[in-house]
Amino acid sequence: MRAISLAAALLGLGAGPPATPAPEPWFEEVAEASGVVFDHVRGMPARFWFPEIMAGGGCWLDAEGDGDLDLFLVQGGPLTPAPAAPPHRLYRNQGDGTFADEEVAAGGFGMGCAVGDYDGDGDDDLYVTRVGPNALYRNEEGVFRDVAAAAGVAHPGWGSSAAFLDVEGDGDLDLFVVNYVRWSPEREIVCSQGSDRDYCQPANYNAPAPDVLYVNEGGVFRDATLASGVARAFGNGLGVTVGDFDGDGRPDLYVANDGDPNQLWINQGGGVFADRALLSGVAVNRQGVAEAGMGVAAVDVENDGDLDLFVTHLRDETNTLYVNQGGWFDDATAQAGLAAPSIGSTGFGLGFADFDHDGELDLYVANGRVSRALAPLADDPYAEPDQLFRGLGGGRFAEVAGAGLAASLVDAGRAAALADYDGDGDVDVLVVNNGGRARLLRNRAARGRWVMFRVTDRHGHVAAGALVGVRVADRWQWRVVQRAASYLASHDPRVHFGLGAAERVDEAGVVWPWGRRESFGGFAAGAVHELRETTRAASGVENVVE
Amino acid sequence: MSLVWLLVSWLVLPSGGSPPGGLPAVEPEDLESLDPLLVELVEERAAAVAASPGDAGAHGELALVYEANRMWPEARASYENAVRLAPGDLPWRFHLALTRRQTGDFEGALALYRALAAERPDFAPAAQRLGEALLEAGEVAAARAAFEKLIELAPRAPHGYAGLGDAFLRQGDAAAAATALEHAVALAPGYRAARYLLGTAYLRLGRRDEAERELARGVGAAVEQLPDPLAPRLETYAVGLTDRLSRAGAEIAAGRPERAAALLEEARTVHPANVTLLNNLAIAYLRQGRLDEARELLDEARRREPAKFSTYLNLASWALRAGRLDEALGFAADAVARAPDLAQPHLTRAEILARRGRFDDARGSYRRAIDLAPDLLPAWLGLARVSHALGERDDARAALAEARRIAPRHPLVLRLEEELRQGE
Repeated sequence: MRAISLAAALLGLGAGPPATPAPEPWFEEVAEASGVVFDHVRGMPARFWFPEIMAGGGCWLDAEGDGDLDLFLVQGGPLTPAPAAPPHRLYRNQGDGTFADEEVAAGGFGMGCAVGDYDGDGDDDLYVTRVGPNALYRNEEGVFRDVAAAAGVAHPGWGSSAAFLDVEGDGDLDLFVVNYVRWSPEREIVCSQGSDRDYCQPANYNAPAPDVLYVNEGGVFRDATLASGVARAFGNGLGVTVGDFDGDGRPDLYVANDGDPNQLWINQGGGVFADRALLSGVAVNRQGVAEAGMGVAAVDVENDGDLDLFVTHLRDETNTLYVNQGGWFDDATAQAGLAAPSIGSTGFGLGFADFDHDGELDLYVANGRVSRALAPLADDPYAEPDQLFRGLGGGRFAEVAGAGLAASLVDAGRAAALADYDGDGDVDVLVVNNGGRARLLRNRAARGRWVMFRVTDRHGHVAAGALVGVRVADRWQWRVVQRAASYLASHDPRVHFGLGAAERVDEAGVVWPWGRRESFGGFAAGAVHELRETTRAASGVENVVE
Repeated sequence: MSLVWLLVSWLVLPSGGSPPGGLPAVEPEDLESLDPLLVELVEERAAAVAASPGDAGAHGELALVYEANRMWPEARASYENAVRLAPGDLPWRFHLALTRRQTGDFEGALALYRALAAERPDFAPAAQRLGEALLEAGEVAAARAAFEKLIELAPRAPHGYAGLGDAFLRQGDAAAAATALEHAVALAPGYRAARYLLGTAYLRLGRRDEAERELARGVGAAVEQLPDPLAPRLETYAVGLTDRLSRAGAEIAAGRPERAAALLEEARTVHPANVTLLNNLAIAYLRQGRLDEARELLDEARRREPAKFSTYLNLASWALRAGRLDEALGFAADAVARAPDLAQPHLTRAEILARRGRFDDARGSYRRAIDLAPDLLPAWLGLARVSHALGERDDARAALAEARRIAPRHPLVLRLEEELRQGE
């Protein structure tokens, strides 16, 4: 440590931890080799319609209920006319590290997606946001059919991210949809960045769009936006995640807005929410500036059992880590070593995971510009390198050179979705690139042992927002069950822990959505276990399913 | 000159000493694709460099043109040239640091801020930037020292106290932070960043009511920097259409529509078909009472883009000034038809209906505007007025309370409070 600091000082540097050399790559890019050949269509060249530059979503889901994760990638297209929209793609996992490609009719310009079993039939359904109206693809034995209109969720606005969660604790999944800007081709305006034509910024339109809460009433949804209170505040919304941020047992929502204050919707019970972002310190940056919020994650970076927040932002702003101090959040970005490295990039999708199994959370951030670079780093003037940060412990991070790849990939990154798609126990990364090829980054960094949990509530649903802890000796690690997070994306619903050299965890505990705490016994490393909410604690029961 | 070559030159050219014969001007590869007014300015400044390639000032002026128009790589390369030719020249070095940060070289910027602060301890802008960069780097104790120095250099400016308060907060000393930030707010009550930080300090101290008040006053702050000697020149070099529209808007807001008109008339010579420009120029004319010229522009805007709702809002404004209320109402309805999900057309329609005494209809339009934009202050004020006019005092009080929540000290809120009190 002393030598590194001294070397940095000699170079006239000295700000934050230096980039860690990557003697061996953390990831190998295997999209094409795995059969995932997806080129996102940005739109019409040189037309500069705003939605074109914001799109690029992707979700992991189990389409056939066979236990492995398939991949749904959301296509953009020419925006008009709708019938000409190119199809989305469903890549079905063949179980051998490869995927079979299948078209899914798009019906419009797609943005992002969310996954949840809304109809309670035991399989994953898909909600796809679009530049209006959105689609709900019901999973009918592995075949997807758009039932959005009949289900009452075909919102006509410009949807961005979305999240399934049980807002009332009644056992079915409700749906929160984030909307961006009230845009239509007729409202498009001409913008430049001091040079030639470019995409506008949301402030140019001055038309933030309200978000929407749909409450599930037996497979058909009721628009509860007004009744729930979530119409009282909104901005140019892009990212959303779910978690119990105030520790009262109810699932809350956090919405990242682009250039407007963010919302922290604290669940008051009875389907009612109140925005506590300002008083909690997560509405704006620490100087009161509303930054360009893009992607978001709920994460416990300090392993203290409460949920912190991480938000990606535009270049010249820092990404922001808000650390939960019990009732309020502290902007700890600089202390974490995440401020300076993020100033030069525009962050979108992200994911925290212990990629190298050393017991510390690492961070992957997909970057991509929204205004063209005058000195482009690639053919695409919106392309930027992604970033990987290695967790150092104590809530601190250091950047890994080249984003952990042998050869840097420079794309206009949007969604980043994490999953163990190949079933080898480590966490891989999907990155969807706006106007470019999707990347599948297979993990090569994992050295230590691991354990994973599939966490389901008493109804058998993925327990979105549940907080899961494992104890090895006297050290706890905490993860949140978090599908809806990042940007336009949905992660692997399972929680993953790196264990270093430990051969088992001594104890696992879950704080379920709606507040029940349950303790489980020890579990062996190297397996995926199921933690299912019971009516009584199942201490000591080892429930190995794989 | 190729920009790629320039980037390479940063890495391979020796940094010391001025090259014999001077340095060539930095020019973008795609010069012809730029805004014609910008091309003209770049060519003028590049010609000055060609005439005196060894003159640091010529390179620096060209760099300022690029910086003013957010062409960061070109600005950085030009400042690098200026600094190579005149290594001791403070302004170019300071702006080189700014452009390093803008081009993603945070470490390089920080190193230069450190050097500038050490060599020129009397230069307040460098002390401020150094403090901010050190906070971003997590070097809080060093940042505190930089802000303490800034307070020495600029004791009447709030920036040093605000930075010091931020550093104290990061060190967990909320009481010291509150003291520093209260000083910043006393020096500049409108400095929102300091108010937000003060709210955070109060929150840490358990002073919740005060915290809530200060956070609400501070939210929506903008980054504010101490001006450096080159800042005024930057503004004059910002010639792109977006910048001109922005400056014109500021001039109109400041009650100087004639200056706005001059800015936009010049831009119109190279952007004759830009409907946004036509609308903004029409507003500048309206504010000067030049109604016929404004109407001519708005008709042209409507002809070019019949679907653009904002043109109809401006036509409504024109009709109001011309005393044609029925026409104004028609134009407002046209705007609503084109953008029914935006608040502004409904607000405009409501205002005109209220002027016509159609309070019930106005109330509906105000409510629609509020549904679409819950924090739209004029809509709450209007709703309070028409509710009061309709004799619905509870509704009026409720709407006024919402307006007070949004902007408790806004003069229009205070005035309406007084009016309603007198009316009761």
